[in-house]
Amino acid sequence: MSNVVKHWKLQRYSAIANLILAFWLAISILCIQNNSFQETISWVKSPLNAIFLSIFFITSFLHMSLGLQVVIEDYVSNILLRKRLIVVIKSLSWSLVTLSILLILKIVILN
Amino acid sequence: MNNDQSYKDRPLSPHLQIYKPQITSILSISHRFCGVFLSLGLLAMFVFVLLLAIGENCYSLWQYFSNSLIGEIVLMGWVLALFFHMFNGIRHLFWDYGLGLSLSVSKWTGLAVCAATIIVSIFIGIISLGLII
Repeated sequence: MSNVVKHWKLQRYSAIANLILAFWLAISILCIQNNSFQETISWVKSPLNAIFLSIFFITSFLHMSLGLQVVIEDYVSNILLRKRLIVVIKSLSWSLVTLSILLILKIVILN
Repeated sequence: MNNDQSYKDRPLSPHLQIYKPQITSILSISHRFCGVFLSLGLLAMFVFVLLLAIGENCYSLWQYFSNSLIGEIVLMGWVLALFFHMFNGIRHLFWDYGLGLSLSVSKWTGLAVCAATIIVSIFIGIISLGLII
């Protein structure tokens, strides 16, 4: 499968995942917005929320980096700068995905 | 790959301000703009989890932000952008299957996307102000 086809398909698959997860997260954040620190911690600690939140970070950072890559390809005409920016976006999003899952694990295990 | 001179001599595509604004083009650029804006929202979600994991003192920073007027405006902006991007994304997924590509149908679905976004955002605004539920 060529890279372009892979990009196209991943963008759609992550979109469908986000359709469900972002909707769930928006509603949940709305419900817990006035909660105290301890109540918010116990919300994250509930297994279903922790799993959904982790999957949300994976699919949305993937969707974000694929989307921003297209935006950069469209508007940055300097080829070298374009390539560097795409590398920055990709490495930043993968590091943030890893970090966020570690942070969720920390809350679940240690808090 | 790029012979310098021929690269510079290429014609530019007409700029955005040349076109007459139409619902299809406005929604198209809004979809992209909202996507970029939502990247910042995702970053904020990451900061939310980061502050929560560090501890109570840092988490109070988030509460301070989300309870301030600026914070509430920005959060409401993200909600609006999220639902617009979501509804218009569903429209894009139908287009990928070749459905609703004709001009009349895409104008109609575009208006439906706007209506759905406004209705859901007002509904969520009312809930978050604590008027119902």
